[in-house]
Amino acid sequence: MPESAALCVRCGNCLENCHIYLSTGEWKHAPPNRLKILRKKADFVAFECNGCRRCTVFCPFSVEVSAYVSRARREIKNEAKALVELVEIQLEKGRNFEKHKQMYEAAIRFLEKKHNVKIPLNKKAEILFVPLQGEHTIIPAAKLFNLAKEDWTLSYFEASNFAFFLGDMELAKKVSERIFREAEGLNAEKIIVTECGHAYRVFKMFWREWFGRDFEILNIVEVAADYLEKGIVEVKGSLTEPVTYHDPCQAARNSGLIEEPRRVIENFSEDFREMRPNKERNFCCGGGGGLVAIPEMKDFRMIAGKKKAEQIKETEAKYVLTICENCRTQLKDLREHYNLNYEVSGVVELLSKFI
Amino acid sequence: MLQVYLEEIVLYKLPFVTAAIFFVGLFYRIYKYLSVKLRVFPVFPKASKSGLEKLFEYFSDVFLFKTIFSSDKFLWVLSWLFHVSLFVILLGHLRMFLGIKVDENFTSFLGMLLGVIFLLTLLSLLVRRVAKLRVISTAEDYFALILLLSVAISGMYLRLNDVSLDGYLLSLISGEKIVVGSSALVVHALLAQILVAYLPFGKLFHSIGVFHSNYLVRWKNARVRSSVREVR
Ligand code: HEM
Ligand code: HEM
Ligand code: SF4
Ligand code: SF4
Repeated sequence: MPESAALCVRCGNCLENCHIYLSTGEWKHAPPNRLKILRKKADFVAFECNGCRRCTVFCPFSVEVSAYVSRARREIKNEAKALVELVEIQLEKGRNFEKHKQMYEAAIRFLEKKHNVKIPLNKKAEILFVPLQGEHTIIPAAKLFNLAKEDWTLSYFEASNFAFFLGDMELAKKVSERIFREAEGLNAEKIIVTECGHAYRVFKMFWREWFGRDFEILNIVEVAADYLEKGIVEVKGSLTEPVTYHDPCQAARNSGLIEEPRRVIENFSEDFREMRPNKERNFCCGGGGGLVAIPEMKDFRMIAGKKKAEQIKETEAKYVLTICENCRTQLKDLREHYNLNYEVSGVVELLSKFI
Repeated sequence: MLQVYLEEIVLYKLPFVTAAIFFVGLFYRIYKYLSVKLRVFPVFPKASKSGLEKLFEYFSDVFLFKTIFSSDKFLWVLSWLFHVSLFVILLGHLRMFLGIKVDENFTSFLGMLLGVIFLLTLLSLLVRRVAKLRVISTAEDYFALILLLSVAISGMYLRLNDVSLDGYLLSLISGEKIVVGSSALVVHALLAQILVAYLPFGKLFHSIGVFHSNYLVRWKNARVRSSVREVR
């Protein structure tokens, strides 16, 4: 990207379209002002932006606030200690793999017994499935793959890439490299990523450039949509309560995953309600850009999520579905903060209750 | 005497300086614009069309200000009328400078109409900025609008007083200078040239960059071979 900030004419079209400016009304949070600050120096406002790129969608010159945000974050990354530490933990798993391996295998064997599903580990396979921590990202996918009789195996690493939130792409590459080596070692051809917005984006947008190899990169939701379409998986029963879907910025406008989750939801939901606006124009939940992982930012993100809370309330949905771990956490926190009443779930996670 | 002297300078000497500043400035600015390295990301959904259709959609996106249309209809009306009237006024100048003859009544009617639209939309943009956008406005934003306004007002004065400059461009080349003897023309031509010289350096550079950055973010094939689906 060239210096797109030079094109900003301060037309103001993005003001009402940035949920952070909408909810705080602060000078520094108007996108053109954020841009002005970050063009000059790396300031903490870089961490007070979700990098959702909604302003870019509505900018007549596609000005990239998020590119300046990333650049600034890399310079001042130590101001987000929590993220730096998380990256260190991720890299440590790669360095000290044997120790990690033993613990991980024990945990997965436990899950296998608990849910009575087979979860292949350390096996040469066509598909490498990359989950997150937490069984809700593993079990539903395992059920799907086993039903479809896929040749798959589970990754030893989690899909998330905290270095990406720090705008440090060198470091992000190192984090991803652990999974790349694993995939090569297992002769995998397809990499299927669990429901996680930024992780999916990193796999999809960077892997080829970083590692020069063309894996087929899919999200578990795409796979589920495909199985349903082909009749490999059949849905039994349905949900009558109102359901809405929150498009994670990273999955929708930043990676193009827009229709597949809806196709899956329509298979089991009788009362699906769209938020307005939606799809690539959806408002960010307020937790994106790694803010969920920074404890000090909790208050800030509760304010930033005001617009999202209003949108959800309008639909009167009892289930809010999404395909991003960050959004999930944020949506749950918003529910408590704004006294709302809904369940939060992943799309494939909920689907797995109907198969 | 001074009047004639000034007119000669502004119409027959200054344009070369203006043109030099404009082109050198443009190259410098484009160079600076391209030399900053930041990462490009696409926004989805991408246009799925190909070839001519894609080209057509790309230009209609840029020229119809669709992003503004989708979020602020009022701004869209103002902004679009402003830009279109500017564009046609410039075409009208070109016609005049080349000395192409069209029906007098028609040109004066159109010139008047467009001049009024241009002036009113500019004024409204200024009012909008003062009333609603003070949080994000910088001195340059006011400068650009006021400069444009002053060009518009002086131009309208010429229009109302039937001052014209037929075949000016040809006279620039041939050396047979036209002498009009109007101080208003001197003012208008001076202000207009300040505007042209300033264009590459400030926010008006958007008129050039708009094509590039939109193309990169919304249109350029975001495909990383099979790992990003292009269609959508
Ligand atoms: C291809 C050519 C151009 C395109 C696509 C374009 C597009 C736009 C757009 C989308 C805006 C934002 C909306 C607004 O604030 O009005 C804008 C603003 C503006 N444009 Fe252009 N423009 C072009 C050429 C020009 C030129 C040649 C000039 C002046 C000589 C100009 C002067 C302005 C000004 C002054 C504003 C800011 C208005 C304000 O302060 O609110 N534009 N342009
Ligand atoms: C050296 C450059 C220029 C010269 C010598 C010039 C000269 C003139 C003249 C002679 C008229 C009167 C037309 C008539 O009565 O037939 C006029 C009108 C006008 N000019 Fe210019 N002009 C220049 C540049 C510009 C520029 C760059 C703009 C706009 C940004 C502009 C905006 C206008 C407007 C709005 C009018 C009144 C409406 C119209 O007649 O179309 N002029 N100009
Ligand atoms: S929409 Fe784009 S050009 Fe307009 S103020 Fe926002 S960033 Fe600047
Ligand atoms: S939060 Fe989103 S809309 Fe607001 S400035 Fe950051 S990227 Fe733009």
